[in-house]
Amino acid sequence: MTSVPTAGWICAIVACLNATAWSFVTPPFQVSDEPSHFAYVKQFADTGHLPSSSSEVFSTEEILILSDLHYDEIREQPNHQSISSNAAVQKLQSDLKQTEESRGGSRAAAVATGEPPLYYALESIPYDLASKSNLLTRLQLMRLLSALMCGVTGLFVFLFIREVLPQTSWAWIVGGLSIALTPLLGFASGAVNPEVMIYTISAALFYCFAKAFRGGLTPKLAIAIGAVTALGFLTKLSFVGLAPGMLIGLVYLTYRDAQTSRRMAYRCFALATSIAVAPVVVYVLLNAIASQPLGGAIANAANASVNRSIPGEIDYIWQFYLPRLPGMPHDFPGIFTTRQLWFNAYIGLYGWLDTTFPSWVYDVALIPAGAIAFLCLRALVVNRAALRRRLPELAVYGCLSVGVMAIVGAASYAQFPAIDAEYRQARYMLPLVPLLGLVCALAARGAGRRWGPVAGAMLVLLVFAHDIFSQLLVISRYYA
Amino acid sequence: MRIPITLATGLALIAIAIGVTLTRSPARLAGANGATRENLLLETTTAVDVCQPNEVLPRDTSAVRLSMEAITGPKLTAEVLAGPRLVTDGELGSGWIGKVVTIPVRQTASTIRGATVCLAVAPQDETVSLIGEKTPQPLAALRDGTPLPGRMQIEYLRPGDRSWWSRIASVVQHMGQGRAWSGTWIGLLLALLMGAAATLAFRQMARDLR
Repeated sequence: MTSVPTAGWICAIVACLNATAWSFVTPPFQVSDEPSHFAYVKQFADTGHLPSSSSEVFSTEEILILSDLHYDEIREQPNHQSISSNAAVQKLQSDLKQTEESRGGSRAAAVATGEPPLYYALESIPYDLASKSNLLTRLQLMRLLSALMCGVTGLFVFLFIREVLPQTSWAWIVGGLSIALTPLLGFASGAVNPEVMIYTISAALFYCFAKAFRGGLTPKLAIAIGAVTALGFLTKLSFVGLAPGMLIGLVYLTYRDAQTSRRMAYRCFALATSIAVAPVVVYVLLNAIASQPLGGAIANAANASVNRSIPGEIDYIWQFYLPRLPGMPHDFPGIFTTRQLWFNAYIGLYGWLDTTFPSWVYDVALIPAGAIAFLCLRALVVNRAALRRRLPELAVYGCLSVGVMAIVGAASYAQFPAIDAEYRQARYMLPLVPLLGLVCALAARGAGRRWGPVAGAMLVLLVFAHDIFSQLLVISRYYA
Repeated sequence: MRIPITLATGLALIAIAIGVTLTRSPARLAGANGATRENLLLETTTAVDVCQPNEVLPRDTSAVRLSMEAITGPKLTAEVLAGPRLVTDGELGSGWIGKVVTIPVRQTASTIRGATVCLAVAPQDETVSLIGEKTPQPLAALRDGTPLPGRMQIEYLRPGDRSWWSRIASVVQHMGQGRAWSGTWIGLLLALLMGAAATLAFRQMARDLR
């Protein structure tokens, strides 16, 4: 990494501060799946073993505290708020004190069971640091580690934009801060969830590729790409969605650089891929030793859709994101998925997907979104010659994006039609925040040399306002 | 100078917008029909009309809240009738998610007793569930004229009478409860965190966007 300008560190710090704020705004366990991820860490930290059951029978300590927090009454029911009565608060404090020294996990970690252990191993550090404190203190410290990871995400997004738009230094901070202050990223990163680390890893991967497209695939970059990919495989199964794009990018860079030095290019390719697949090889070997299916959880997930129709799955995944094309079945009758599932969710869907703005907010949000899209498009059209030269690079970013979207769509298809869109959460698209940051930077550029910086300032102000009002919305939902 | 002016103006507008928003008041519970949400009354993947008689619609009702579950909910239309007369109506667009839906309706001028609340569920693929309480048939909600196993849980909301400004102290106090480190200091911490983020961000922007 060449020296990082101050603006890059500012983006990192702002992202971290924002996620930290969100970690205090959102009540404990009122983020999707946080109880499951906490249970995984608790089992790992307290017993040294990984969870093995997908039931929700968590440890006694966690179940007690969830009950004291009225977790089941609050979750998904915006008519119920977080506890506030003296009796409830006192019971919680009493139980927290009594269970301070109690340890012991549970084999059950619900949806988190089966996920790779790296994130949870890292989260066991703050968990152990607060080992003499109560459960909620441990949770809060774990949330702060997630917020720290968000800071690193902010840094890599800035660096990615710097590599892609080297001539427009003033636009780097526009893109970086637009992501650092994005409320959805702050909300998701203010919780215990391995997705947070995937955002960081994905941003690092985008940065590595941008650097490789600028200056060639060097051995250092090959090692970095391989290491980042390996970390991704060790963090969350859904990282598999990024793997095809990563491989395509490597293949292209190798082919391009082989024109100059074939030996170096192939060496870099071998370096990157061997490091990247190392965790996968170990995983397969461990399954073989334990007489389990070699593909493990991934094979199980793939088998779940083996009897489904491939054309039907493609139709579904297309409509999961985009309007239906003529000839396709109506998989989402009456729903404009691009807007209702994704755009609206990005604008505001918090808590356990139960906290929303009034509907007019989503209508009004279309105006600035349209303006940003227009300006971004203008920037691309004005610079179309440069765009043409960089088509392979854009294609790689496109492949990374399609991979992320395909894996989420396929997971949802496994539940279809019983559930139309099981994984319709915008946070699953946050591995693509580097591209969103790039869109914001391009939108500012699209306003021209004279007004570009002003447009950039207005864009960041808009994101900041979005962030503040989102926090106020969540505060009003849980604490009013 | 354009950038500092833009930033200063933008931050001032945000502060004003926050101030104006806080002059409004949160919706309050005006009434409820007392039904619990313990029983599954209906699961449907098709369009359906459900009507529930013998409801009391409080004065100033501006929204009705129902216990329904879906991941990608269909469009919902609510109508409240007093006999044959339509008292109020409203709709919620498709794509909602959760276990409770709130349908905004035109605000009512007076309390209506013996009202009938009707809900129209648009066609969809996914299963939509209606949750309520088991009751004898004469008290039950009706699906296309046929009694369901019980009554829907319905709550009626009206605009509150206390602004968010007047509730700041209680909200901050509430925020400090039920978490690791209790206390009202949490409001100050939040303000400091976001203030620091904003200061760092906009100061750097003023330098870079020249």
